[in-house]
Amino acid sequence: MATYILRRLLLMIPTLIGITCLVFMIIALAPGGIGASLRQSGGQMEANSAAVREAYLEDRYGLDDSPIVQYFRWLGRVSPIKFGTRDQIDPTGEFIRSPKLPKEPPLWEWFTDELPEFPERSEFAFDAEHDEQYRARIYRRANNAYSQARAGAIGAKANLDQILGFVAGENELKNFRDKKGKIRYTVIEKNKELFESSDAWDRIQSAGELLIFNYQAAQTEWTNLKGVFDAQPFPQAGFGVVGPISVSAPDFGRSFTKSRPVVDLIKDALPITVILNLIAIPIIYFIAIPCGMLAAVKSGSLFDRLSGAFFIGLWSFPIPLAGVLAIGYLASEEYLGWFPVAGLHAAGAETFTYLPTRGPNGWEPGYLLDLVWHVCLPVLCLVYGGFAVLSKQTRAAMLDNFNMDYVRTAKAKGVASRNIIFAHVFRNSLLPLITMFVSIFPAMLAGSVVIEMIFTVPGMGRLTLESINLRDRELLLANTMMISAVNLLALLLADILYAFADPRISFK
Amino acid sequence: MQNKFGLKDFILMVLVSLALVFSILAMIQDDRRWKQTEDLTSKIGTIEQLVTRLDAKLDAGIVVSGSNNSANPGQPVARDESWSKQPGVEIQWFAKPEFAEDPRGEDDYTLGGVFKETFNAQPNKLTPVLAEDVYGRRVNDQICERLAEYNAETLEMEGQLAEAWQYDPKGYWVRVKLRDNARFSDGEPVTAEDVRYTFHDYIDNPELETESLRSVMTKLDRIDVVSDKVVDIFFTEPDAYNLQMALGFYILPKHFYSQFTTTQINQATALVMGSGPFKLANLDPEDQWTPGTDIVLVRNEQYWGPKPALAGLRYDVITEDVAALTSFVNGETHMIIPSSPQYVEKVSQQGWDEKAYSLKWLNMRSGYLFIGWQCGERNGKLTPFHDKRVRQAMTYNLDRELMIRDIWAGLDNIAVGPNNPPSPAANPEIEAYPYNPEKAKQLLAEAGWIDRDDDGILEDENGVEFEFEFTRSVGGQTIERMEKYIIDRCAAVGIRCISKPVDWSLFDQIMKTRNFDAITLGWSASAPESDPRQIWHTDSIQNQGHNFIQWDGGQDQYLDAIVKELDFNKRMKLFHDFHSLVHEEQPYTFIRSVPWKRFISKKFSNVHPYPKGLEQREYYMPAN
Repeated sequence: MATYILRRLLLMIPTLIGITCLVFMIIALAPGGIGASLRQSGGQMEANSAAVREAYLEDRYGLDDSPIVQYFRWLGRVSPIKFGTRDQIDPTGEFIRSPKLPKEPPLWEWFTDELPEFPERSEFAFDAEHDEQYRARIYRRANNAYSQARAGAIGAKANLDQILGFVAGENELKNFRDKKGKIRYTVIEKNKELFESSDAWDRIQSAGELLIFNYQAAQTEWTNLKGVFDAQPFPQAGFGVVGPISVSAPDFGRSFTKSRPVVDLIKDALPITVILNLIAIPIIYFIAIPCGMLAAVKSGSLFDRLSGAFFIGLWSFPIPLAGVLAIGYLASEEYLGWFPVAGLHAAGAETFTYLPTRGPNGWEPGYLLDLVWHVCLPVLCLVYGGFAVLSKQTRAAMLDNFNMDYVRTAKAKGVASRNIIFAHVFRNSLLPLITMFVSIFPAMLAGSVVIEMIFTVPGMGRLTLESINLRDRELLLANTMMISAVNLLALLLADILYAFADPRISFK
Repeated sequence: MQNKFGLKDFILMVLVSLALVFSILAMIQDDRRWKQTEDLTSKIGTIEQLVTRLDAKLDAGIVVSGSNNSANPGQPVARDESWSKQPGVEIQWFAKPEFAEDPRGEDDYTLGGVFKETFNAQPNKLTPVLAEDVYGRRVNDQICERLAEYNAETLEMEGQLAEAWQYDPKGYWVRVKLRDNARFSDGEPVTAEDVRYTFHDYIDNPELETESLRSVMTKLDRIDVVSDKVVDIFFTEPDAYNLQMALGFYILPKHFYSQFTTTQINQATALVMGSGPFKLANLDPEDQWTPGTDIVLVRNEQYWGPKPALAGLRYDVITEDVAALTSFVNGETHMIIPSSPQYVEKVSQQGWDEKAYSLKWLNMRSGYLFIGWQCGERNGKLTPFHDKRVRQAMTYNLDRELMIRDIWAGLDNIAVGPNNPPSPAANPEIEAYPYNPEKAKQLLAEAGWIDRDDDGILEDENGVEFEFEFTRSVGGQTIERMEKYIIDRCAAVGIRCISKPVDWSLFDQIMKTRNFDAITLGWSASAPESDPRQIWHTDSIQNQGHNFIQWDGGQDQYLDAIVKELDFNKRMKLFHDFHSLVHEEQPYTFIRSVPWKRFISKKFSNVHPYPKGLEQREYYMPAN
């Protein structure tokens, strides 16, 4: 059994990589690509500033790399086994990576004979007496200087691009931009005479020289920063194994549309979805299974037919419509007004006590009751469609078993029918119910998108949907990863539970 | 198997019930402590109010004894102008900011009450400058203040934190004097160093995710501290919009923000502190507001300006239209943005007027909806719209009144140009093109588009049929209905219009590559007048700028002059000329101006729609 579980666990790794890769590539290849929402700069700035902003963002999030590079970089950060220079963890808990090299300036041959070299690295080391704060300060100073210099280089490149684009556009040069509107330097390079002969050549030259100058400044600052980083201002993440290989906690990065750590976002959203489902799933089971059993015992009776029709009817009713109707009739004070409309807490719930208390204005519901009252409608919508499948499954499994020989034998022996139903038939009908549970459990984490949207519940479903809409690379991949991992684990759990429920199954 | 209740079961049961009892006891204990804390907090609040009132009284006392001028307002006040940078250059002074409509004289004026506003999308963060969405900014506007604000009624720029400024007539610098009594919500005074810090170490810090503001502030060269209350702001080059840029960012307290690392600020959701009339109820960096919970603001008891009556503001999010309206009707929220059909339905409903203010008005932020015609080349080929007669014909061919009535429930006006009429930049003499299909046909014929083979479609002299793609975003019935109408109208004059719905995320790319024939979009504004070059200048054609329709109709002479003209009236004159040109050339067919719509609960008084927007700080909850 243990080897079986281990094998399954190891098999999960390639499966997860496959799933995340597929999801990422689909989003990356969709029109607009990764980070599409970031590029929507709106109508509030000049063309040039929009270009600078975009360049900043691309540099910050690495959006100008190809999707494959982006994916592998993400994989490298998430993987617990890491290669190369080890990350460090600063006092605020952030992963500090070895600084990224400044980008080589395009068309540098136009402006200078040779690209400036990186300056010699001066050895830098912290003394033992330097405390954490001092180290952090030194690192931050070097890091600020480098980002300032890099920002200068980015701005200078955007400026050069602008002039090049202007000249190329004026002279009706073809194909000098790629499909996303980026300048193709190869095309520009081939048509150098065109630029040399244009009036703007002086401007191009000075913009280029400025770019080279800024690049050189960035190189100097990079060298400084690298020196500081190599002196290890912060403790290293994880622990080294052999040579460049180390093991450390996965880093899910930061959502770039919400600019918060992905882990924090999930931490906010997950409990809400779990609470909703922890209330909903027992309700489904406690109603659907007894009904299914009763329907099986009294198969063909009025109850069987009525409950079947009723559940199927509920199941066929679209959730979005039910949600809107529930708000319109059950929550609106123009009609019944029994429930609150949206959210998880009443206004001012943060000042409530946990338990109901008697205040100056009579009974106050307290935090717990308020929460229950607020989740009533979402839970109702989450629950009603779930009865049909589960009760029909139970009924079918029970009926199968009723016709088995062992049941007839038990009946012949004179076993009480209650015992037959619960101890024999039901136990043997558990198998499909386990499968059902396992398929419900991951859905629990994915959240019910529609319900969360209608009732404004800030859960996982909404988070995932937003990450898809905004093409938020980190958030989307982390969510996909989590949902698929839970799915795979649930499948494994199902197999293990099978073995317990049915002694005939073994994984030897 | 025996069903005996054994010792083991008994112990188990006892343990479980003990755990249950203990957890309930723990909750009761926690509640008791909670109550004590609540009592304490409310007591501290009262004390704080008391101290502030005392403080204000002291302040007022000093003023009365110190200046005799205030007794006879006719005389000019002698002011200390020793801080001026260049003698002889006019200094603009501003009185202490006041309410646009002062509620304090009303009979039923009382303090207290919480005003709750419902957003229809979730703000991601509230930290100033890093919060880029409109909701985050709306919250920030209550907490933070700028050097200058637009007057709610006249839309003129007036000193907020700035008491006075001296602006270089050549436009290279402005020297700003801060108000002596301006304080942040923790009581610390607003100083020149805070202004310098906010720009140099916060906005212009590449380590912070402030790109969007940083990239529009490129003309701001540097800010120098002159003295405790005086700063110099230098510009790289003169520009008509420099002043509004330099005085229009939030001033943040250095002593608060400098205690965090850049990473902490980047990752924070709600590190907001300012000098405004409200403050965050919970400003604990360890336990910040997170998206999904209500945003709670309380009155800044130490506010230096006119203090609001409301004890607090509260914001929640309801993304679903029906749910938002239901919540408003139930009284769970006090302000929502209704959809057009909801607005029309409710306004005509009996008894609605007693429940709610139904506001609909154009203000400085409302924009317009338009169809942009490709005036240049698409993929190397000219579109039919390069001819201005064709563009005029397209406008004549649309019954915009009918569109507004049937598609937008009759709620809006036809837009006439790049600035909506309340703006002084709109030319009042221009009237919208009337609906006139005959004129449209005539113009098309003049431009050479005639049905030459009697198949119902117009052709040019080479026999090429008039056909174009209409690019619009997916989603929404409104836009689909608008598109159907346009296709229909085009067919009526013999033009084949092909629908091209695309996802929002693709719009940017389409606009940049100019890969469309006609596109429908909306622009919105953030200030009474903004730099028109980004949308209209021909420089924005070559560099993927926002002149994506590639219109080149001689507009540059006006636009270049507009941004160089520092005199307001002369600038407006140029704007009017530019407006006439746009009207004549019709690079856009302006469809409608988009007014703001709001439902606000009648539980609150002194609610006025201003050209600037809404002023929640003026509201109060009348006694009974």
